[in-house]
Amino acid sequence: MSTLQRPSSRLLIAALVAAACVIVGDVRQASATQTPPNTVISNTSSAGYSDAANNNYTTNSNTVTVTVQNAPSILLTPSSNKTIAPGQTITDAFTIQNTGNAAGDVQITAGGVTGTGNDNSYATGATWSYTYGGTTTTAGDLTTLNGDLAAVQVPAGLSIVVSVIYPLQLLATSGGMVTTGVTGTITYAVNGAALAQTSTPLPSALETDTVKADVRIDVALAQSQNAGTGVITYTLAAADGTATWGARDSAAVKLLLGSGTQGVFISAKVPQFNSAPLAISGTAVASTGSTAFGYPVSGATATIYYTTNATGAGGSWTSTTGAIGAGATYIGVFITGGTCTINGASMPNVEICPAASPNSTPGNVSNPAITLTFSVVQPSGTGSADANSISTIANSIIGDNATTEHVIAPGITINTLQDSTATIASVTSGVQGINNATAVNAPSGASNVMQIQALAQWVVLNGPYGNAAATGQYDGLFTNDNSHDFTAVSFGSGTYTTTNPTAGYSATTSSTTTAGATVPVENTIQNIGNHSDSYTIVAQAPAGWKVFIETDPSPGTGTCAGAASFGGSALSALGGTSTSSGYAVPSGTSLNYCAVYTAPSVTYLSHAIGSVVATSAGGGTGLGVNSTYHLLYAGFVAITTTQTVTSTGCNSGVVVPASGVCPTGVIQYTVDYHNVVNPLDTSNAQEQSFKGVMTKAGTLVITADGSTGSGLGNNWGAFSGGASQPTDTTGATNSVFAYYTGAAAGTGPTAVWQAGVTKFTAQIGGPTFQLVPALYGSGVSQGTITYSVTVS
Amino acid sequence: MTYARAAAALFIAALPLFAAAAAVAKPVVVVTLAQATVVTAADGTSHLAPLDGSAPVGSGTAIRYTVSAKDTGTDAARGLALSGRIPEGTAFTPGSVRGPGGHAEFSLDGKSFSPRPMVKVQTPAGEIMQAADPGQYVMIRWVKDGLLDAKSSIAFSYDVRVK
Repeated sequence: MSTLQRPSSRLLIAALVAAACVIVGDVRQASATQTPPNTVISNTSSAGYSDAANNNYTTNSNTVTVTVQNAPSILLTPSSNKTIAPGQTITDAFTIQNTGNAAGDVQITAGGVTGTGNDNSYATGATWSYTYGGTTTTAGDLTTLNGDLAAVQVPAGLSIVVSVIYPLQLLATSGGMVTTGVTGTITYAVNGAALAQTSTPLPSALETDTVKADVRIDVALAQSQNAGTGVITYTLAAADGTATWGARDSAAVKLLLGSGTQGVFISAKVPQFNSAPLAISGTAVASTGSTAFGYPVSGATATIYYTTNATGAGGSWTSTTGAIGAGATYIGVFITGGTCTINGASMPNVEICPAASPNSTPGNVSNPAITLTFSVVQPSGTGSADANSISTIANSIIGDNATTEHVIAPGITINTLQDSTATIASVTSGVQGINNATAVNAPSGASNVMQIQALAQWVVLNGPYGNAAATGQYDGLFTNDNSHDFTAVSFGSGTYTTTNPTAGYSATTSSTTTAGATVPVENTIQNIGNHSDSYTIVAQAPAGWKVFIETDPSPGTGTCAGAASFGGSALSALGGTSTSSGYAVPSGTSLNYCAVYTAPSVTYLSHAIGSVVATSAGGGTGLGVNSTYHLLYAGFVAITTTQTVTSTGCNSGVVVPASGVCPTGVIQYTVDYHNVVNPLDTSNAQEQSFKGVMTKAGTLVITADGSTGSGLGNNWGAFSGGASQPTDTTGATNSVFAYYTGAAAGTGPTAVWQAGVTKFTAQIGGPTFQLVPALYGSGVSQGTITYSVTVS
Repeated sequence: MTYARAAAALFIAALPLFAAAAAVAKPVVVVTLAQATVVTAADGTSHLAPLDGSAPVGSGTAIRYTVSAKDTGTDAARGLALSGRIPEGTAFTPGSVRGPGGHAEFSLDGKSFSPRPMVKVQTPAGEIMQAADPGQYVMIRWVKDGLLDAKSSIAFSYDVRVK
């Protein structure tokens, strides 16, 4: 077909061409909008030309047409690759744009956690959701998702977002990757001449999420002690040990400090001694670190809290500006309201940010984001100075990325929250995660354990058995105190003789002991210092004596083994010392030991003085040294019985042998008693110190029992029918006699002399009498009881 | 009217008659428009497939329009320019113009043509001129060099893609 038109001027055409170089005005806008189905596209062409006479002609062509069909197509775009954390639930969104020319239904034919991510196996249990028109709908599994999507008509050019939601297990490791993707189609229904069409399944690009270890708050506890006062100062420092995540608000903290709070909390247990928290000294101080170390740039506040509750239970905490109430059991600092930049995005409600250059490790924080400082008074009492008697640990409670809040705190038990081992705790409302029993082990949230002890006080008591604190004045010369206390011990003196038994007491009276006789003396050491100690015991033997030390094998019996095998020392030289070391005595406890003396087999005076010095291994001066003394008595009252036949009773002419007697003969017994202490013996200084030794009032009782045996036994009672009443030279009538009759045990006593007496006792001088040493200056040092029997 | 004037008027009135007698030699160009789809194989090669007007096409379909012209007259056509439209719902495919002995020009409004149409664009720095997006083209014209001899033909083609 053609249409001829009147020619126009070629000049006019040229002018139009030139003007077309610049077009301003109504032009078609380039558009990506697709042509709707059933649109008829028609076209017609034309030709313009001229003839030799410059006549212009225009002619048109035929018209061709086509009709636009359904042309479904989609474009799938993943969201940006993410940095993810173990425990976190991640949503990977895929935008599905309808790039076709009509509205259609999107379907997901495959997808989820897919691809080659090496941590894909830790991302099982993925679910689906979709977002359209600003509304997000959880769809669960893929079947449900497609069922939902079938009801959504996505217009051409618009998009729907389908999300793969997967939980990342805690086993995922830093550096691992999880990949997700979807494959989708879109279907256009029949629309007029446009036929139903489904696009070719199209896979999206994969989204690759990189695993980074979750936030880890490193907490370090440091301590120092004032050398003068013993006050212990604790500094708790915390920082984020990762470069990836920050410590987030924790619902656990809300439960702990109250419903109006939400943030992160770092606390320290007030150290205890003997199950009681130590008293706080001064005020607590919270100091924020620089932002380079992770303290939020703005918005955050740090507040000190404390509680007196033994378990730090929720609701028991009190905020303070620094003054800590009496009986505080825990002190902490609460940080709230921070904003951090994490993975390039500004994130609110993150209270400790990733440090620019994190360099902390659990228990080692050199650049803290926050510090808390408080001091305690050192404890006193038994064991308080023992090594590590004071122990404490700090904790942090923070939220992290885990969907079910994963509280970083050891042993926390809060409702359905998880503890650091990812174990869902039992429902125990109000029990908080202030558990100071677990040391650092990332990501426990706990600090290092810090241990210290009170300044040591070395105090030892060394004294008589069972009474280490006894005071005394063993020689009357020194102060009556617990370093001059003494134990008086008597021992069998063996054979006692007097040099002139018929003349009675004289200044030269002496005694001897059996060679090698041992005299054990029990003693007790008590450690009343605050530190367990070890002692060196040095025993000093009296002149002429020997001594060694041993552990008391049978305390309280008055006897010792007498063998060095009981942890003892070597036997000393005569008059020497014996040293034994290493007697460990915990603070507040006692140890019994024996000093075992060996008496000399020489002329012996009545008594000697030994001593034992206990010296602390920890502090061997002052109160760390204590002595006790041993007064070794061989017995200072000598009793000598003699007999005289005052009448043989024999008929004349009878030859009577020496010491012989006939019936009706009379035998007179004389019992001499005297204090053998010889203060005039200036050869022995110790003897001099005993010049005051005398019997205790009323205790000198002499017994004459004539019924204890026959033959060589004491059997004068068998002749009691002829006995005569005894007399005593001391105290005249003051001496108190008691008489018994009958055989063996006899009957009595009675104060009345009578025939048949077989036994009597004499309290010499009565209840107030004391037998004093000769030359004591006053009093009686010697006396004689005389009684007779007539041989029947 | 004088004689001279009357003679002149008669001459002028007779000119068409002379012209009619001389119109024996003149160009008569007939224009034909054809359409086909451009099918691109997986290996990148392409071929044309007939496109019946009754067969619907989908979005993205490439349509090649071929404008053919034949001078059925007795004289050569001078200054021949063949024009084709870029229909609504389609977009011109840049670089797809093919034709012998001539050059292509484009139009943004169907009136003015240029080998490279320009538009004014407002920028923060002020109003500037820049080349128009080919998607804005509404017409294309092939301007033949020289003459189209009588009884001769010429054709040029261009591609559009259904949006």
